[in-house]
Amino acid sequence: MNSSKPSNPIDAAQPGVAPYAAPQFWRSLAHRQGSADFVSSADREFPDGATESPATEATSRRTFLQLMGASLALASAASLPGCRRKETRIRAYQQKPEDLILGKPRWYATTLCRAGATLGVLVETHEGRPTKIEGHPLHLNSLGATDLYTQAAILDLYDPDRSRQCLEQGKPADYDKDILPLLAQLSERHRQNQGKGLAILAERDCSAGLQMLQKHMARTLPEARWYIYEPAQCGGLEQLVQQNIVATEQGARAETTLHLRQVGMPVWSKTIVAIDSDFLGTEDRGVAHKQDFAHGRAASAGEADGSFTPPPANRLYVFEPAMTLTGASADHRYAVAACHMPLLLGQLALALGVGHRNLSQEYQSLWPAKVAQVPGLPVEVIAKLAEDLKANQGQTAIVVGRGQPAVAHVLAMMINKHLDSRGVVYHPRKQSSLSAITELTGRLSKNDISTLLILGGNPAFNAPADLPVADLIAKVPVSIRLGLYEDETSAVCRWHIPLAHDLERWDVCRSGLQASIVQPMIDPLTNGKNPLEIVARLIGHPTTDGYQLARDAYAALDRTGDIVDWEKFIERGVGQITFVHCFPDAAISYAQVKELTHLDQSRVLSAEALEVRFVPDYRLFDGRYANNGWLQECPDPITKITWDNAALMSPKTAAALGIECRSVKGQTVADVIVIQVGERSLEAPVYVLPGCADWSITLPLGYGRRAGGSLATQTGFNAYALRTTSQMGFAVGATVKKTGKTYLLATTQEHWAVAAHHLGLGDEQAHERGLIRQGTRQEFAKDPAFAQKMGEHAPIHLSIYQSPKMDGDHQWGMVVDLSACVGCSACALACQAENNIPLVGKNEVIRGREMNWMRIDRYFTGDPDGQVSASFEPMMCQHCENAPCEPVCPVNATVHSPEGLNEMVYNRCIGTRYCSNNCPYKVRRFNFFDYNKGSLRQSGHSPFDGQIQPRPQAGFSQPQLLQPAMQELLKMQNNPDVTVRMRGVMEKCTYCVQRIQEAKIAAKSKVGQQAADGGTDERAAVKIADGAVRTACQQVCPTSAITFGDLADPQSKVAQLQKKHHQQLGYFILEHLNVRPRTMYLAQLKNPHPALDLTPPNHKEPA
Amino acid sequence: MSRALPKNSSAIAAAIGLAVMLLGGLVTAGVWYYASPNYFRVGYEPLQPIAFSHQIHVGGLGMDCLYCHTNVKESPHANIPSTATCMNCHDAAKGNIKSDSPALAPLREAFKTGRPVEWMRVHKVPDFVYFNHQVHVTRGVACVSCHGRIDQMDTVRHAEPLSMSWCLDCHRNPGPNLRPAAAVTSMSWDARTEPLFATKSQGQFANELIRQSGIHPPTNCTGCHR
Repeated sequence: MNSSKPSNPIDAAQPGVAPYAAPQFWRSLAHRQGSADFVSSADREFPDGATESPATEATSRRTFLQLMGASLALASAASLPGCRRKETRIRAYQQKPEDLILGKPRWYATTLCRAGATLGVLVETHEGRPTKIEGHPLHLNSLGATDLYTQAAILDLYDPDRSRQCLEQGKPADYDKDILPLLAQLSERHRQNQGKGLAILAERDCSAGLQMLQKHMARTLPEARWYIYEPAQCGGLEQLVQQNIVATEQGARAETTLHLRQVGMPVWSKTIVAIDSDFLGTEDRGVAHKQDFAHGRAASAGEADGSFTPPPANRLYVFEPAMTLTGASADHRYAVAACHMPLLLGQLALALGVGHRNLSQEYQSLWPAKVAQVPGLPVEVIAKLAEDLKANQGQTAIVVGRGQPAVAHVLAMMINKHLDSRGVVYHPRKQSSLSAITELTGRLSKNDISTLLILGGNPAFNAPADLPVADLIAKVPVSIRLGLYEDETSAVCRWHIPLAHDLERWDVCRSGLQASIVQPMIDPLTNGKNPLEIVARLIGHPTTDGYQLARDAYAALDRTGDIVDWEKFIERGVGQITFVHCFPDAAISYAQVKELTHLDQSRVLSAEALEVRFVPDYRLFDGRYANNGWLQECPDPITKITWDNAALMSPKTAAALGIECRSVKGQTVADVIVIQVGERSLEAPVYVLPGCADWSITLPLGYGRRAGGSLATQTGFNAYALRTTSQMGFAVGATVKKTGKTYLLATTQEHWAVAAHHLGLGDEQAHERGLIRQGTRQEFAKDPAFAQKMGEHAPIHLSIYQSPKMDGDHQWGMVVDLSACVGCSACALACQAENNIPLVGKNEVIRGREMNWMRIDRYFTGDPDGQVSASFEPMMCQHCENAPCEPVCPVNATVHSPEGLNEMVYNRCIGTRYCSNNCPYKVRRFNFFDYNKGSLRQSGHSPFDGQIQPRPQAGFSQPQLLQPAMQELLKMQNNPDVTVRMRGVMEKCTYCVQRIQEAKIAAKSKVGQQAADGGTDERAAVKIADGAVRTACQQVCPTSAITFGDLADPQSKVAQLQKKHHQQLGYFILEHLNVRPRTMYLAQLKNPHPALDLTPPNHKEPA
Repeated sequence: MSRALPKNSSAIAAAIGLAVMLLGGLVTAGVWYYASPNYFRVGYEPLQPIAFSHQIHVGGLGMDCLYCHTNVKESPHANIPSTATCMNCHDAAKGNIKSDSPALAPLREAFKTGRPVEWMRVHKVPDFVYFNHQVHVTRGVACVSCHGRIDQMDTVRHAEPLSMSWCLDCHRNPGPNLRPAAAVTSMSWDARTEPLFATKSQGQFANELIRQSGIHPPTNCTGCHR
């Protein structure tokens, strides 16, 4: 525990009050210590600095009067032309598309692909304008849900920074006049020389069209090569593949080498062990993993029959070097440095008796006795884990992260095989990313390549730092780049061709058992070209039309099961194909990989020999989403940093290195350090994150771009600068030096903190427990109502105010299942996309003016210097029946509907902000500026003037806000069913009232039509079927953590859940304030191993 | 020695007071009258790029609203017909009606080039109002109730104020504006001649309809503002 606890200012002011007790659930280290800054910011309705004028230097009375006079004069001048009626014109279709109903959205099936993982989606289009992406219920990777990246993809489509024209050496070129003849000429040249000197470098793709062209190329141009490089997938298995590459090229061992990737973790896995693996986060098929995982967790699952029996729960053990989404969802989480994972796996293999007789000996020879124990791991854990695994033989899954060395993967395969855990299956791969980029670089340096086509990707930015890829590409005689942005790679290529967005082109994708369609929703907005067409032209394929190529690719698929024709395939979006997967076979043995693994004997980490890890970012992934404002502004699920990345390290490590990461007025002032690995070094701000392994530094990739859009180039640092071919996962032996500079990180972890003390009821501990409640399955079995006993006692529902009349046909309510929530933040982005929530930029986030209606509160528990776990709580308007915001509004701009909705009426709001002042949940957001117009030129001021320097230090800068002209294109994304709010207006979650109204109108029109047709429908009221209205956050959620519906309908799922859990897991946040929220939370149930139960004692049943 | 105030100061004060009251009353009355949608919306009658006459098409020829405004029963919007719809009759190759009239030159031009005719919008509610045609016409609210006697208008004229209080009048008491579904698009329907009403009054019919199909128009904010 921390011994130097600052005294709480509140205590100091009120002698006699019990000394400050650290909260069990804390948002930040400052919160845990009860720092004065945190307490005072929790007191306010908006974070400190949010409500101050941009000009913080005292505005004089004179200036004030001048401003007032000027604005009055302007207002009167501006209102004169307003007397004239604005002319609006209507442009009708010349010929209306037959099945189009103006004003009604249409939905099309398509597929989005990221790093070789597909996600089937349905895209909502309004008169040909895509506005929102939802999951495709028939696609097995989606089942109707999506993730953060998919939600944000729609914004990329309208990104004003997208490349718009072909370029030759940076000067505009014409596609028809310049590019097409060039491609024809190249095609002819390579036809003659059998493809000698031709190379294509692509991203990992599931495109059946590209695979077809690849086959065609192998047949007709045998000398040509197709390389695939995917930076986020390097390391681990890839390392192994690279070592075996000679064998592969000869084709001799192609069947038995370890060209594998983990693809599955089926729903029935009972004991799951994640070793440095973020399978709930950035790894492939994250959506499917989350679904499978939550299936064995959710307290809201299996409710259709009305009987509540907790489903047989899975148990997740996580060993990881830094807190991840997977770690936060774990039942047992241990912070272990990445380089110690093979040791841990070896110990586990020994404990389980895995492998042949010699294993023990070999194992001993690999690790010297001095590191026989895994640092940071309690001794009994391995034994207990082995016990648990044995007990669930056949229902286990050991998953190892990509960054882990080959030996870790082999050990995991052996353990999985030993335990018969078919939970982890592997998909064969032909080529590894690292070997591809290494081979390509080798050939480039030998001037072996005359024509290089780069499809997407961004090798000049994200290739290993020890390969001079950018310089070598620049020397290729003909280099052609097909890219969404004019980025680092475009800059070194001779030619650049704009790439069509996934929503602008034809293709067919394949993944697992399914083929899925990629179809255009809109004509290319920026003259983007389909990669199929470019490749087909280059390799001289007879067909060069994207649509026809996709059709041919579909015809060439080895389909099984229900073979659907093309038209049907387009309509349904998916079709079945054969699927190849395999389990690791007997050929894998420890001995086989022993020589491949260079285990450093000196893996003892210390202040002089630190570990540095490279991980894909939760928001920018490998950097490809760097110009997406929604993702940039979405707080990182774990660190809550926006618009930046940071070097993450544990509090203990930071303290030992003398590095500080101070919390000032809710913002994070980070020390900037220089990280030195070998001869490479990097400057980065530090973020102290509880739950990191000691002496391990985690660097999220993807930031620090030098080109590729106005937002991409202004955020964070480039961690690729330290990542070399031999250290793609992590590097050991790094040193750190302080620079003396500081950097301001825009973090939201202390924003919107629900103030514990000032609500003034009862003791603080009870209050904290009231916010987020957690228990174990064992506790629940003993006392199903344990959650009811936490927090304040709810008062009898009496009020001196008259409650609003709630006599509507429907009574809307929600249930949020905290056992299912994994904190991925997809709901927050879905809400942003659905509800036209504007971006505000880093400066505004620093002031606490972020607009997201939905926030995911992240709470840590445990000892920041020891084992820490995290929990998530999605927080949005609770739609209180006794809403405190309503009586304080002087203009009735927030009122209650008969259906129990707390309505926000924008056109009445005059911006007094009394409502947010009175909202105990802090879920109301205020438009301090016309964010939707992008007019934020005045926001360059800092709330920290005179204290610290918020302006960028060398190498770091802050994002500029969008220019009005750019906003025009982005407007196309706006949902036409939701008002775009203006400056000075309050807004907040509406329970997606536009979706409710749409469903009501549909139901009413149907009844009206029936009655009109002489039908004998005698329904007195128009009822909406359960499930007909789904909120945006509910629809996107891969774990079904959110249930929304009609509480007045006893058959609805939400009503049943609220009834069942009323005396069990269900609780209302701040229920003791008698606000009567409509949103019920189900307390989180963890499923720890009974012998390893580390739950803090204050969690136990109160005496 | 002059006095501080003239002799007749009380009379001046009274006159000033009266003037202020008069002026205040005038301003109030002016705003009351001129700043209401009743004044500045009703009667709006912009010139259209083609002098399309509803009077001829609806009043004279008896065309149904749905012939052109096809989506009104399925969509929030009552769509303006596509150029092709007009050309069903006015194309020389099809109906050949007035196919060479100079008044229709912009139409033929639009059809040939694909550049749409830019009609002037007459009925427009503010952006934060989500009016939905579908739910009104399928539940027995007639076109004429909001748009007036279109069949008698040579150029379309804004007939009703479409103000919030005007909307709420009906939302609070929808009965008088309900009619049988078959008569929704009729411009000249009269409850007195409706055969359905031979046995019951319009009021009885409306009450039945309200009960049967649960017509409770929203009067809360999010009914129309989202």
